[in-house]
Amino acid sequence: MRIEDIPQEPSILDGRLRACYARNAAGRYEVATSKGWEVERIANQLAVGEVNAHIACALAAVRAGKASALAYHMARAHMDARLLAAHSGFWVWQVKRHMQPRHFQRLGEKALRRHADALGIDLATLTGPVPA
Amino acid sequence: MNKPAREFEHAHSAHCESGAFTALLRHNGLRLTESLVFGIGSGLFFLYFPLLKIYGAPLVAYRDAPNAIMTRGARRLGVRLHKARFRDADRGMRALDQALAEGVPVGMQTGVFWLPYFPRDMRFQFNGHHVIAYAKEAEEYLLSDTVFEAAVRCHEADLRRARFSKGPLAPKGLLYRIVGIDGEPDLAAAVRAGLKTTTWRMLKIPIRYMGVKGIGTLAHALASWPATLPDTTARSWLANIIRMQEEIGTGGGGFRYMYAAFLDEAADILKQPALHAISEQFTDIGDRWRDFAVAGAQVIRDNDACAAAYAALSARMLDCAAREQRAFEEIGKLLHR
Repeated sequence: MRIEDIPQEPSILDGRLRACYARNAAGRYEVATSKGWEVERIANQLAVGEVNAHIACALAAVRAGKASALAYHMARAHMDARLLAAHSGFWVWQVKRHMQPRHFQRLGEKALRRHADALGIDLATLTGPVPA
Repeated sequence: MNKPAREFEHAHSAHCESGAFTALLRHNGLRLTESLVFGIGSGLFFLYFPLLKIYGAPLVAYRDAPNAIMTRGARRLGVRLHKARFRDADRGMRALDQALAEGVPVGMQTGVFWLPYFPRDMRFQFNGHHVIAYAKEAEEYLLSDTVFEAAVRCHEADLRRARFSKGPLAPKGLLYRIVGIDGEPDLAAAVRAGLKTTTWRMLKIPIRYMGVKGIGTLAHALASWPATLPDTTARSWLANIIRMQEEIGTGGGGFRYMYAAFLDEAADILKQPALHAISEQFTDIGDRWRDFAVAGAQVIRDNDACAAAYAALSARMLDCAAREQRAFEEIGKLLHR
C-alpha cells in the first residue's frame, strides 16, 4: 500500500481519521491517515444492522407484552442475559426471569437500580415506558 | 527524565495497545516507533476459534491476545511495568486519581462500548481497548486514545464504567505505568526475540486454529459456509472477518502492513538487508488481505450466497496463508544463520 492509494471514502469514523501504515515516495513506511473505507463500512453496517434488528425485535416483544422493558434496554446495551448477569451480579436465570413482564413488575427498587447501573441508564429510563 | 503528565505527547497510532505502550515509553524518554514496539512485542498472529462466539460470530483475530504486546515488549526492552487490577471500582478510580496527582500518566484497559467519544457505529462490547489517562480536570479525564488523531475527554462515570466493564476479557480496572527502564535497551536482541516468537507462533504451534494453520482452517470453513449455514449467518460471519481485519485499528491489512514497517526497521537494526525483501513480501501480503476484504464486501453487498463466491474468497485466503508461510520460513532461516 502506498500513501496515495489509502482509501479516503465516507465511512464509519464520524469525521475522525484512522492511522494506516503505507509506503511513502521513498519506499519507506510511515503512518498516514485515512478518512475511511467503503469496504469497512459495508462490513460494519451489516453488524450494526444486526444489532438494530435485535433491538427492534426486543422492542416489538415489549410492546406486545411478551417481554419486560429490561429486554429492550439490554438489547440497546448490546447485551445478552449472560453479559447483563456479569455486569449486574445477578444469576443468568434471574436475568432471564426479569425479562418476563410479570417478574419485572415485582422487582424492588434495589434490584432495578442494579440493572440500571449495569446498563448505564438511569432508573427512570428503565422503569419508564419504552419508545412507542 | 520524566516529564509531567500534563505535557503528555499524544501520537496517532494504528493499534491501541502498541500505540499506548509506545506513547508511555516515549514519555519516559525511550523514543521508538509503534511498528517497532509491535514487532518486538510479537503482536502479529492469527487466531480462528470457532467455539468462541463474539456477537454470534466465531472469534477471528489477526493479532495476539490483549496485553501480550505490552508484557513481552516490556520484558525485551528492559522496561519495568507496574500493573494493578482492582476488585473494587472505587479503589480503582482512586488509584487512577492518585497516579495523575503524582503526575504519572497511566495506561488502562477499557471496554469500548462505554467510551462516549467513540464513533457511534464503532461502539461494540469489546473489553480489550487500551487508553492512557494523563490529567484530570474537574470530573473529566484527559485521555490519549492513540487510535484517534487528537486527545479526548471522558467523564468520570463513563470511564469508570469502561474500566470495570464485565464479560469476556473483563479489564478489572487494569492500570499500568512504567516505573523504570534498565539502561539503554539492546534493540537488536529485542528485535531478534520478537521475530523468533512470532515466527514460532505463526508456523509451529501444533493447533490447527492458530498461526498460518489457523488461516487455512478458517479458509476451509469459509468455503463450506454457504452449504452449512443460513445465508444471513454466512454473510455476517464473513463481515466479522473483514471487521477484525480492518475496523478495529490494525493499520490496514490485518496488521500485515505494520509488520512490514517493522521488518524494514528490523533490517536496519540487525543489519540484515534480506529483511527488506521480506518486508516487501508482507506489503504484498497486506495488499492481498485488502483484496480479500474488497471481494468479501462485494459478496456481502450483492447478497451473493452462491458457493462459488465463497470458494473464491477461500482461495484468496489460502493464498495469503501460503505466502505468510513462505515469508516466516525465510525469517526463520535468517534467524538461524
